[in-house]
Amino acid sequence: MSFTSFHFGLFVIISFIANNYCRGKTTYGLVAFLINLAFFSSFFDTLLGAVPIVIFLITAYFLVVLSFYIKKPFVLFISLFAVMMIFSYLKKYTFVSWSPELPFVYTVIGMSYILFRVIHLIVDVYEGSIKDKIGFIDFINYCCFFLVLVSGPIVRYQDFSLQYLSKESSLLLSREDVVGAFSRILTGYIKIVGLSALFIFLFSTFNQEYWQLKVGTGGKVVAVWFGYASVTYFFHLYFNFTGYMDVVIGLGILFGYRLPENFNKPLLASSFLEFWTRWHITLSEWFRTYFFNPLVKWLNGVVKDSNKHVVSIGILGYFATFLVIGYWHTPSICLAILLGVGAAVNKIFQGFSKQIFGKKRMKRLNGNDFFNYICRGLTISYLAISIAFLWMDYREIYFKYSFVWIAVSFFMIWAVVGAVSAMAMVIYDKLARFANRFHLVIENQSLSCMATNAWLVSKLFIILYASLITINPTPAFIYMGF
Amino acid sequence: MRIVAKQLFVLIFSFALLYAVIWCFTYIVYPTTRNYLDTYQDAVYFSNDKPEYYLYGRGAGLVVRGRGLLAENVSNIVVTGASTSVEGFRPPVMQKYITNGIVHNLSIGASNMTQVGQVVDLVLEATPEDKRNNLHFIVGVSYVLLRPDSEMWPGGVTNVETEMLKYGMYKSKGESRFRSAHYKYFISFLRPILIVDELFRRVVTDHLFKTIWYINNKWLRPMQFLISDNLNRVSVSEEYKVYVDREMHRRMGSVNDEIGDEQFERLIDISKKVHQSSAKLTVVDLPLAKWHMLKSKHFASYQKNKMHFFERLKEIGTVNIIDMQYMNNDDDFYDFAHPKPQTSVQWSSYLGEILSKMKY
Repeated sequence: MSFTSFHFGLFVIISFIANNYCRGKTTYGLVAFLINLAFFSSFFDTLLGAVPIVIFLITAYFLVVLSFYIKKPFVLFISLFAVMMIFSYLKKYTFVSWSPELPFVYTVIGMSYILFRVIHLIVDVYEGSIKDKIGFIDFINYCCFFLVLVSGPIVRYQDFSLQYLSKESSLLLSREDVVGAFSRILTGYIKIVGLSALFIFLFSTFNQEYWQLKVGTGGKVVAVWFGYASVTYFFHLYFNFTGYMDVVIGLGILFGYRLPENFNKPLLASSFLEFWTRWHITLSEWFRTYFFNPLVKWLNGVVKDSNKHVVSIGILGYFATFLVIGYWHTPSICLAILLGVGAAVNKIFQGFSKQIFGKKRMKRLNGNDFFNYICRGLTISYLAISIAFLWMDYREIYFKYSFVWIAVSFFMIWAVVGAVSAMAMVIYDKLARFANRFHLVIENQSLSCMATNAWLVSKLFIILYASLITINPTPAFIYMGF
Repeated sequence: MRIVAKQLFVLIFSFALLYAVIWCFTYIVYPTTRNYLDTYQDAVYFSNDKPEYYLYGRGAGLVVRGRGLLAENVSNIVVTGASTSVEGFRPPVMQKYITNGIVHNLSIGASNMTQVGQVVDLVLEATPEDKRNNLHFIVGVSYVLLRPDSEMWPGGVTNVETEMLKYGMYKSKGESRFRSAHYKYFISFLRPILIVDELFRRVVTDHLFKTIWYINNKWLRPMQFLISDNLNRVSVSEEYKVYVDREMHRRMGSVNDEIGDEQFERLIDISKKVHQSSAKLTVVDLPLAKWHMLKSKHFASYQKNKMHFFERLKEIGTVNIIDMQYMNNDDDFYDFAHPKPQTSVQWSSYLGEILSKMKY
């Protein structure tokens, strides 16, 4: 069920009514279970296609319960290994390609995010952070909560259960909550059907031009078309994902859930690492908690005189973490390496620049607008080029051009796109400041009911306009495929 | 829950109210004052004419969304073709000769015969069956209109099809969501959306395209002569003639500069459709600048092939063929194919006189 479909709208209304009329914890749990089940089942064409993911969920629940009763490192290791292997097998990762495939078509919708939640449950239950035993219905409601099933945000069970388990009566929402939620939902749809659709249209145009270029075409021409394509794809992804998050968070408020924010103005990030603290925040935090921290802890234990190698261990930790994040996004090793290298180089540069310039000068430099715009431009363009491997097969380029050509082009494109992005950042900054001021005035609580509604209605009008004007279908939600 | 339901109701009600207000407003800003359709605004980039704005769009957009007007007249004469027909046949001039019917120009710049066929389909769809015998199509033909589909529409979708798919009017190519009698109500419903589109065109895209067109032709291509205060005074440079030869060779997509049968067959299809619907068809063999006719291999190929197809057209019946090929001199064109404004008056009068003899 697509978030932009009519069916979803109907589903939300029915679920909302059911959600509000049920009383008591058990009833609420059952109703939520049915809602989640209905949403989940909308992705399956056949019953057989749902079997693998259902088996995965049942196994995962068994392992969570096992971790609750037997708190031994060996059980923890086996549990994590088992869920990751089943996940890799069902997701058909290349490193398990030797194993026989299931002889029928099945769906793995939301499986990555279910895995994140399951690992979090197993580890936290083992460590004792989750003290109560988790029932099967609660487990399913947590792992398959319809609003966050497809693509997060990744909510911690402790936060989820505080909100979910405390629901014994109908929700109490203020007018400001409701208006805020409606506004957020409408903004999300504007991003999806308007901006994301616009950028995917531009991207397809540029991408078509790019692939039509023949071998031997001048580097400048290739750089220009590739630059256009990669940047437009980046913005398509940005609006697609943030739009989806706005819809999810807005609906969450209406359903009585305060879901964590997943974005914090990522276009303002002036470095690669800062970007990941602003983009898909819950994923970054998950990787920090369940991958980076344990890895660095383990490396500190393994490496002799680890105190002397703190920086190197940190760099290695970042490299490995972003390598895995990249590989999770797509099995293309290029994206994984670019993300890993980006993080490592950023970490090295941080230490290096502090040594060269000193803390005071660095602080002054960081306060310089021009320097910031350049950094932001380079960050965005580096990421835009990296995520080009989501839509481009590296083998195509590899067979088309020499390695030196690719390397030189990479830096050329990076520099050119970086410079253009830096200029765009200046405009973005001005626009963002204006929009922010405008938003503050518009969404001010003291504003009359009429003005607030006019604001919401104008958003609705933009959505209708954007959805009618385009001849292409509404862009699919990209992160659904991860 | 009550507060959410209340907010949802207020939102939907306010939206409906706003929509209704804008809908009424569109009738004040864009009152229906004319009884004919004309796609001429597309050509305003080339001249100093003041652009006319239609709510329903321009070019292909005007054809798709504005054709409801055709149903209101008893008898219609519809000119179709490409940019030469847009500029060459001016409805106000032709109308002076015609007492029994309204002249419209639904030609679309950068068309080929496939797109002309789609325009014919849309016009037939918009004309009630009992009025189709009072419908007369004029198709302006030159070899330029016979550009193969693979070259003309590499994406497989014509401009008319794009406009048909917009606003959800058509589900897919040619599959309408509405009965032909009902689509005009839907278009009327769309007026608040269309006005936003039109304002955007007026404020942003028009200026943008005009600037790009100006920069492109002023500095990047040898067509500076097109930017003139008066198109009637333009003369063609030798540099431009070379450019046209090269450009037409590239555009027509044929290695040996031959005109294939594909688009001629489309013309035959059009005449069959028109004949079946009991409407009438006149094919005008359009003139080109003589310097171009003498040199162009495409033109030579067109001349060689056309006789066979024109014979087939005559066999179908209710088809007239008007030969205008050699009625002009080089000075009458501002480039290789498009008539100067003063020539347009001549063409329009000529065609108007012929039509008046057909008891229009």
